[in-house]
Amino acid sequence: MIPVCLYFQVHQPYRLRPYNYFDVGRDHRYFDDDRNRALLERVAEKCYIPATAMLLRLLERHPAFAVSFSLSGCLLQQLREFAPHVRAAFQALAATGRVEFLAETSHHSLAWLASRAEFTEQTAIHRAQIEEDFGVTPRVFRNTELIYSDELALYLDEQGYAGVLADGVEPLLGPRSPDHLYRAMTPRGLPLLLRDYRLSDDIAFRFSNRTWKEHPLTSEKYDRWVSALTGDVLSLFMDFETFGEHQWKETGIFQFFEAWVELYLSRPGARFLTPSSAIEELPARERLSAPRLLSWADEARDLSAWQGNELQRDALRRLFSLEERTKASGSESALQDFRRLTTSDHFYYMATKSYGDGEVHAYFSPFDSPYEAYMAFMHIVSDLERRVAPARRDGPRSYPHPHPLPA
Amino acid sequence: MFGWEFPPWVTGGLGVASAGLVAGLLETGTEVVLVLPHHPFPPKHPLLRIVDSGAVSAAADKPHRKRFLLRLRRVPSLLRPYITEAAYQEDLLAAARDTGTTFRGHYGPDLAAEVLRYAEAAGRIARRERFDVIHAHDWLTYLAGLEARRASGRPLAVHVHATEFDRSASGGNAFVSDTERLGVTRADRVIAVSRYTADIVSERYSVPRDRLRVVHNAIDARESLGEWEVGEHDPLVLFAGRITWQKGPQFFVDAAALVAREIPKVRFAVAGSGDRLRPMMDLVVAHGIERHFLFTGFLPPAELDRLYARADVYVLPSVSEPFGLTALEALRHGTPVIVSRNAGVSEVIRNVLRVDFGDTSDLASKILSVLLFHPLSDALGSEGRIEVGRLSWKDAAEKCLEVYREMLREEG
Repeated sequence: MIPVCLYFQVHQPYRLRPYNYFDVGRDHRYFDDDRNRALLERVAEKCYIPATAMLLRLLERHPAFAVSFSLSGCLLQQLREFAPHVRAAFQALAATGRVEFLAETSHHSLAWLASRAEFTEQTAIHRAQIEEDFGVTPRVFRNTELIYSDELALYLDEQGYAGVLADGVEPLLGPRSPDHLYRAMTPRGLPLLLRDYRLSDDIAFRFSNRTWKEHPLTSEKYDRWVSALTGDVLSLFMDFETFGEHQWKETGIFQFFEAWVELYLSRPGARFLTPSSAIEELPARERLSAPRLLSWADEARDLSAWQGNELQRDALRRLFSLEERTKASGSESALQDFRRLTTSDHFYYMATKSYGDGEVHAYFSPFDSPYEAYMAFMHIVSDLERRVAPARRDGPRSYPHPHPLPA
Repeated sequence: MFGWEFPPWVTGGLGVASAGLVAGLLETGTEVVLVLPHHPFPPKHPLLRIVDSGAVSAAADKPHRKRFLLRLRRVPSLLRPYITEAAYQEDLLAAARDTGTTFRGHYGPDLAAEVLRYAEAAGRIARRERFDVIHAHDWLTYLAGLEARRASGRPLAVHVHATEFDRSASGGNAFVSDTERLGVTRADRVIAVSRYTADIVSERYSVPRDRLRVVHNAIDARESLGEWEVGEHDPLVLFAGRITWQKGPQFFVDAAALVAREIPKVRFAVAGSGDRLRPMMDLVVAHGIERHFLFTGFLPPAELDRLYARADVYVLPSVSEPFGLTALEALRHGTPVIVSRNAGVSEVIRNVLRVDFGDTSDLASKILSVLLFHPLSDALGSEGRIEVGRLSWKDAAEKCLEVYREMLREEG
């Protein structure tokens, strides 16, 4: 049987509150604490609590079961504030010794696209968070939403990471199968573990889709598909919120998954690998090249989910134009706010893709429209700008990309 | 079809919409008997083309064929879109003075009598003409539609462009709402210009959902819009349309006061006229922002087009807005649009900013956002223009044809 590597992304952003032009310079509260707490409590009840309980049962029952997580720093911080019992549930999983925590940016951010310095600092913050909460040091890197390129791999290799995760998309693989361990296009050949997006999305996206020809997906059917694979490792990467949030419990997602794990493990030689054990045990194949940035998002699997239109690019540029000033200001609260604004979700909400993908964006967005998301973000960045570089009292009002007003 | 002339009374969407629909129907090859109230003295504007010999709208691209499909029947009448009792009395007086014209003194003594007189004329026309279905636009012609049905036995669709609940805060005029109720409850089908309006008709007049259909308004591309010579670069915010309680002019002025404090060079243009024009001007003076304001009065279409093209943002802060055709006009020029959340137009166009009409701080913030953030105004303008380009009166006409077929099937 092909070994299976499970990895779940667990993340909740600090969502913005409605913020308009007249709040600039007057109100420095950017985040909707009540809403963030309410949403975290809801997703904890629907997903985190029952899903971690399910994984703990499987870990206790089966020595061959293992799992890995990337827990974003935003999530860890919100768990501390709003849901310590969920944090305890992840710690209970960690105590089994068969759960790996991956490295990433502290703020599930787009920092890689904008600033190497900020990216480095955020990975260090995240490492410290994982060490503090779980007593382990992450070794394998997973960038925000599997954003990946040769350049990222080179950087990670230089930093001494043991490996990196990416999506198994055609621009990277060509005709090859994703179900092997590959190497990144670096001198040392950093181990590269690729998501089998077809089998991952069968669970994450299509499970409850009644128009899908394979609906309903049973554990037996899924087991047949997995048994038919011939590769070295099947990498199933998905949002943890798949369980109970994206796919409601009424769809039978929990029963399906647990039954499939049981069924799979009843096969001779079946076992789960963490990314680290996969990298240690499996033979690595050839180097794969990704000259352009890839991700696991939307149909396009590129950066268009966060940087596809001028609103999104403008917002990211404006934010990072304040990086140096924010750090030089010495204000801890300003820096914290800056980092929470680097989270990819804020840019995702600004996507104007019209069809298909747009519906997914709208599902996740707390805003009425991408334009609302952009305006709130830009006014907040304007306020941050005033905090870190106060305008001269007698000077004109400083504002991003002002309308060209003649003198 | 009981419609309205285009353009002479282009102070509102009714004339534009009913004429657009006729053009769309002709394009599908449908024969139309168009019955219009013929006003003795429509407003004279150099650029206006009054309906005659089949030239229904500027969108007509096959005039000869259209002339063949279109039969025009005019009824001398003082009825015009959005007329009120007071305005009717003014017109009646003017007609009485206007002794040198076609005036014969046969108009009704008040608006209600004139509506009834028009309905009787409609019955006479219906007995003479051959047609399959009847289509009546807005309350002034509902009785005409009902009378035509009685005379011909053909099924009737009434087209709701607005309700008395939109026009007035207090439920409005009893004769208007009674006529409206009669029309929408007796008709075989009720066509509403938006889901928003369909909901009002369903809730206020208890019209069953299975008789309600939504056909959104549309707009047709014009060949050349002509760019206005822009003599100045000051940011320009536009309000255009009837200046009535329904359109929320006071919210526009309150928001303008907030915007003017932030951008001293901003200008606000108000194009149109109505019973709230004077109070609107008073409010501008009360805010002390009169130097930012330009009141153009009623503008002929070509000049209004230039204003749409020149404006940096178009604002429609209506209290109640069945559709909001002017938003499409602005977007056709690539001008970003801010509309009331409840406006019917936002059911068909996604690339607009929405506001709660009373939230002037939010409205002002959005005006400022469009003026300050170029990526925002570019996206709203270009994406909105693309969306508007996908709309056409022919598609709206096809939906009406489907309603006609339903009525004819039921008839057996």
